[in-house]
Amino acid sequence: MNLKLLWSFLLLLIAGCTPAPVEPVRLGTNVWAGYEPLYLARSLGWLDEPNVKLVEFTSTTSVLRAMRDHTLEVAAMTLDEALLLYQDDPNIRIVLVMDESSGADAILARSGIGSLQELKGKRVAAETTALGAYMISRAMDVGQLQPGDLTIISIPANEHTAAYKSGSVDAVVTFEPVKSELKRAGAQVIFDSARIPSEVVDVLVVHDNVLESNRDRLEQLIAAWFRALDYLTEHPNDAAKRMQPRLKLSVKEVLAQYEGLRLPDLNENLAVLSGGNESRLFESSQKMAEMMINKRLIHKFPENDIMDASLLHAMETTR
Amino acid sequence: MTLTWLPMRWMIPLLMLGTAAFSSVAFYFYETHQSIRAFEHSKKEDVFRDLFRAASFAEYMLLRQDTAAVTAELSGLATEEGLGALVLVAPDHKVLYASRVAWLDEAVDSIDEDLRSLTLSTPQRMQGHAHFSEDRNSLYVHFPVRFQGDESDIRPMNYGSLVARYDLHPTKQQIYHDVEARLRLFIGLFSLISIFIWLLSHYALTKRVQRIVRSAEAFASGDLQARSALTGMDELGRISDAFDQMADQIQTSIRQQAKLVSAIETMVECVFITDVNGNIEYVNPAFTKVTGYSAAEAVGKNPRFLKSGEHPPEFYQAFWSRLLSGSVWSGQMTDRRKNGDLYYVRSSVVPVTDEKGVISHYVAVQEDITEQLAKDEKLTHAMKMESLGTLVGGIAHEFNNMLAGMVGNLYIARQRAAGKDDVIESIDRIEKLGYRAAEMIKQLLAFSRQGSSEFTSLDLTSFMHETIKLIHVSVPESVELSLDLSDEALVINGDKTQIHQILMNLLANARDAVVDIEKPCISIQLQQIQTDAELRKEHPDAVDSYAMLCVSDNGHGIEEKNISRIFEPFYTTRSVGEGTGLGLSMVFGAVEQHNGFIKLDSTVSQGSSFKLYFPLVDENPHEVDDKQEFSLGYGEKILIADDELAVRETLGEVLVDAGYQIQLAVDGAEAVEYFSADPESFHAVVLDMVMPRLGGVAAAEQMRRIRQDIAVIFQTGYDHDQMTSVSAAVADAIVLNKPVDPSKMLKIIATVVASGK
Repeated sequence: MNLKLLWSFLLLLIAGCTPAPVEPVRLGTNVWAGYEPLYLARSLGWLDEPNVKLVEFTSTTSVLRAMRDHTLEVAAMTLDEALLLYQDDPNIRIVLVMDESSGADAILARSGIGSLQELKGKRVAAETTALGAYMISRAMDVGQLQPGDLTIISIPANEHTAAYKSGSVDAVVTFEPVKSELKRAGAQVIFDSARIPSEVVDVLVVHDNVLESNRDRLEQLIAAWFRALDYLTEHPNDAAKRMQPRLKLSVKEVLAQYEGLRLPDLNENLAVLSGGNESRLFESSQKMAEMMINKRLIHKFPENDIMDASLLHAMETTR
Repeated sequence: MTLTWLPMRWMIPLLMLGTAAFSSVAFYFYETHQSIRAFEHSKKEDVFRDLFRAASFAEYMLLRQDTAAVTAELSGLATEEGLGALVLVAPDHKVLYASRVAWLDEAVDSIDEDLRSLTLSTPQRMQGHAHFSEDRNSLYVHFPVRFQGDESDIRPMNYGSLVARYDLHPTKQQIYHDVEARLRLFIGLFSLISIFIWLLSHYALTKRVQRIVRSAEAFASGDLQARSALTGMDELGRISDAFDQMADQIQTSIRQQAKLVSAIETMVECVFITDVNGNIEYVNPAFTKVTGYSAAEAVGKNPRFLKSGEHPPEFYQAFWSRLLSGSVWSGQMTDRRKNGDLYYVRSSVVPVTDEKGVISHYVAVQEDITEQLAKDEKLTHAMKMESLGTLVGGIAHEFNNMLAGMVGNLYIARQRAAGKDDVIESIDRIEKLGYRAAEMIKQLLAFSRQGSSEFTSLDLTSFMHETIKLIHVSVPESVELSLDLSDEALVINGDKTQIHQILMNLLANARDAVVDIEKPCISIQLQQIQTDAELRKEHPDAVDSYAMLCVSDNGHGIEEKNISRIFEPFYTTRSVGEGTGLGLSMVFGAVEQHNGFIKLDSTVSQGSSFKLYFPLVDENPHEVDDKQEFSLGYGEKILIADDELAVRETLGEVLVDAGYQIQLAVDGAEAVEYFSADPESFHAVVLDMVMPRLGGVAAAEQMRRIRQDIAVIFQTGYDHDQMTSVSAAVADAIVLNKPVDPSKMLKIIATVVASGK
């Protein structure tokens, strides 16, 4: 009898204990329309806050650095940025294709510069630590320019407008919403991602250890993502209103952002991401890596295990 | 305080657990408090230092108007642990940097309330400070940041603010969690130790103590075999050893005691133990059986409730003075049972002294000798009767012979004194006295049972019916004689003559008792009695059924003091000459000879009743052949020896008449002479047992030596008992008591002659 009492006392002691606090999964993004459905989901209360914490950066450079230094667990970035990150930290996994840029990324130049060839001898601002390098490389390929033909000034995305307006640069390799802002300031698009389809792809990157330890929360996060995509389709105005404060654009402008973007749903995601080294995204990443190696942007190919569709498969089964 | 309200095996671990629980609680509060305080302190320091650097850098860059550098610097803090929000507000209250993009370039109104109020507050001194929220779950840091003012300003005095909010809750939760984890470890450890101690105390201590306790309890509740039998050299082992030795000793002494107790309890003698004041503390079952008082009735009382009043006060004085002197008192005393009966005991009272030699108890042992006394009395009576019988019988025998001679001589004297009337008158008077003497002798002989006694299966009912007709005449007509005789046949083993005499004696007594009574009445009753418990109590060896003959009268009764003596020989209440004092003695003797007993009820002036009990036998009554059938001889020669001429000649004449030849001898020696001259000529010899020169028995033995098969018939004036001295040689001889009925003698002689012996 007394032994029973003792056990129940101990059980009570354990049950009454303070649970260990959950380490939050920190997800870093810069400001980009393709990532906004995450913030839409947060504003709709669909994120498991504070267990999933969105960390807001103003440039991808900061995101990459934070991800590299493991002060972030999850980050949104372009595929090339992911390959870049992979060079220093091969233990990352691409778990979701968030958007595909078909015009949202662009090179804008002052009036008078009408084509890529005209960039010769000009100063071009680009966030070279991120997508900017890739964009400018691809633009130079397309425009048949040589590396010495133009002066590339590395400026983070949040400073693009200021740099352009100050006249310190002639062209800017940038993306929405800066693109719209510059267009309003009189800049014109001389090259955009629509010309290199399926190359500028935004993906969700996760440290592999986090994928293991926080799988439930990541699945929940992905679910919230697709839910937000649906919301954006079904209630575009409300969604745009909720996005406004971050994008600093009108509802109309916000919605216009998505014209240059494709947001693949679950099936499209599965089609692109699943299949390991057979997957389409792996193929394009190999192609991209080859190009980047040639340009000396990176030095090694990613392994096939960088693609991880397990979270998507989990979505598929729960649907 | 003694901790004895729980068994030790629980007490020790529970005390440990209690201590653990108490210290755990104390530890919890102390440790969490300390850890939280330490965390808050270090967090505050760290955060202050981080923000100080950021603020210094921002201020420096802002003076150079490089907001991009500020943004880059501050966004480096964005992933810092616990950072809730970080905002840099310009002096114009516009948000220059925010950890939330939505707040960027907005007015300060758009940011969270707590941060806004912090940015709007004007610090007294332009220095950074950190403070906690009220619930201490948030830490706010506020640094004033100097901005470039107007170009006219000599010294820029525009201040914006860098504010940050840190959420401490998760870390605090972690601290609580960590402390609890340590606590769990601590409690777990204590529990394990407690269990270990419990096991240790259970197997080394409690289990063994319990074994001692159980055996002690079992022993206390009567299991004398219970032993703890622990092994081991520790204290418990030694206690167990000591206990077992003690148990052995107690068991031995209890067995000893039980033996003594059972001896006392099963004793036939009463045993009772009193304290020094004489109050009874113990009585054994025999006490209850003898006195009738139960143990409950006796214990606590003084034994004087047994006092009979038969002893004078001096008796008890002597009794106590002997006891008080420390000596043993032994003697006989009379006590009274619960039912009032007196009883006699042979008693010993022993004073028991304690270790100091002071008398503490008295132990009395009493043997009930009431029955023994009664038996002794009976025996004495019987012996008295026996010796009297022998004496009287001897005297009567001699007197009878003398009287026979006297009467014969009186007859001759009367012949010779013919005509001398005065002489004849004297002779008549002598003769009368002689007859009276003869009558008395007859009675004496009856008393001493020297008359012939012949026991046969006798139907007492028909016998009584016959006899009553004869004895009716002995009761005067003035006396009413009522008869109540059973119709059933009551067969006893009895002697008609004796029963006749009994009846005559009792009737004579009754008749005398009712003289002077107004309506004299004598009743005779005969019935069958089944022995009941009451009767068996008085006569333990009684048979199942009796024929009860009761003679009662309504006369003046017998005084109580005389009742015990009336059966004594020669005891009489009548005046000299009226009675011999042998009547009731004869009755007593005769009834005893019949294996019966007498019950006498008598009340003065109301009457007496004598109840005679004869044991019934399961036999057919012996048919009495009333027809005189003489057995005749055919010249067979019979040798007769008797020192009495009359007896010798009378028998000779009877035998000659019956057809036998005879040879007469005056004594045994002459008889042997005749027999040895021609032994084969004799068919039987009839010998008087007591004769001068050579007695009948010795003569018979000599004759048997000559001729072994000669038939021998003894005649004797004494009892059969004399035959005990007869040797084996003549054991088959027929013994007849004198006087012998001639017809009976003829029958017997005919029988032996016919059988060739």
